Amino acid sequence: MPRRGAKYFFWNNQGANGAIPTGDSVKKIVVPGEKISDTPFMAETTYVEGNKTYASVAGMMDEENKFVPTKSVYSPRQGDAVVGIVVYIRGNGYKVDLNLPFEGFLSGKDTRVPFSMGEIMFGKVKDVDEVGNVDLVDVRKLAPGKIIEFPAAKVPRLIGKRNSMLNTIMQGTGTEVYVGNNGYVWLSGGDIGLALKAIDMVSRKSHVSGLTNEVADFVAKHKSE
Amino acid sequence: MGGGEKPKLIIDGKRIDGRGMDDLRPVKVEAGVLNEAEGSAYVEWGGNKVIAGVYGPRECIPKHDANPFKALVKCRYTMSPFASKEEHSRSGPNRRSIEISKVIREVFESLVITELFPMTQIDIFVEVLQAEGGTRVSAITAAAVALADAGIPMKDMVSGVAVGKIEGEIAVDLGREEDNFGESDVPMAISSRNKDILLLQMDGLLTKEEFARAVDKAISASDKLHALQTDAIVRSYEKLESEGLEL
Repeated sequence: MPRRGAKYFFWNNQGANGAIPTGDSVKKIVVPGEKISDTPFMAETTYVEGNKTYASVAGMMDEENKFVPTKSVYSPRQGDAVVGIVVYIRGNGYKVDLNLPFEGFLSGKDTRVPFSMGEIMFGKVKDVDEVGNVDLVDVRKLAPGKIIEFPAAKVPRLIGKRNSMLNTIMQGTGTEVYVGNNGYVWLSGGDIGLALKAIDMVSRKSHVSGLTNEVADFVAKHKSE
Repeated sequence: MGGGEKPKLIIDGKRIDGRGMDDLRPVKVEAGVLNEAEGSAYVEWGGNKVIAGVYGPRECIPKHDANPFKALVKCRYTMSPFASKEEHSRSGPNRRSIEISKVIREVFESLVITELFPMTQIDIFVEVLQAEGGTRVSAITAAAVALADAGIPMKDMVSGVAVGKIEGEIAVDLGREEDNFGESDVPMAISSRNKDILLLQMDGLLTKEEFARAVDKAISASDKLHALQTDAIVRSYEKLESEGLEL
């Protein structure tokens, strides 16, 4: 079997041991079905079989040997902050596009602000029923702006510890940014182009450690030009 | 199918393309090749070229098919009109592609954790651009990487490999001539961790002992394929990182 152009190639059958150097640290990439712990624990992206825990999506092990999913499908949870677009108006409320298989619902009782078609909101998930229908609450209307889709698994990275990443991007570019757990990101004002590039950088390099500083340098460098 | 004179399949212990009995054809796997699909993969396996794209979970259509307890897995396998020497006037559904779509769907129905996404469907599209024997196992290998790339929760990865009998010997990964003129062809899909057999079809005949040997050989071949699939996923992160650097 010829080795075909792979830079990092691990010929072993014990599952993925691919490690890619990312800056100063080396993280181990995990593929679905790979064992991540000898003790059982439940998470959305893991499953337990025979008292051992296995990954169900691709991800990586961080410095503390904790599993971090990097690719996953968003499933809404109570209390999630989401960005949504009104797609349908009903007598008793609004149907809201949330980047999910089904539209969410905002009851007219839960909002004093009237919405019209295509308007953007930032709200909270009030409740998720057993088939995944979402009810919204605590919504705020957002001005017309740009909405992009961001991989939901990487949203925590875009927000950063205590909003550090988000503040870096917002202060550096002067753009107002709202990030939903559902992967919709709303941007308005300032240097949107630079903000989009910074967000793209977070998406592509989400597995790199020390990314906040890297993004700060990037924004500072391109802002002066 | 095939036609023509039966060529000699084993010459001096080597197979028609110079391989040993346990050797796979050269396999190349690439993850994340399509922009618009949620997950995608491309597999070159000898003369096979297969591209797979995954969408979903998304709203189930038609709606009355939706299951309130789990997601439906749907698969469409098609072979391009220009894929092989034989005539494929249209690439649309025909007897062969409907059968293969069904067996691929059943492989992934037992791997994807469908209970997480009630009322939805997950679509797997596989297009064979070029065929040289063993397209269904190439398709399964590609689709597994595409599903992992899409982030759809799966219990395990899976890879497919065909094992068969040519001129009385058990050989791994049959090519076109070996498939057409050999005695037996057994495509299998084997999960990476548990070695569960998720697809097993058989053309021709094998004795019990030959069958046991064929399964053993398929399992060791699937380990090699799993390493390649993993490597493709690892490289997709690098690719993502390097593509974004031009500004």
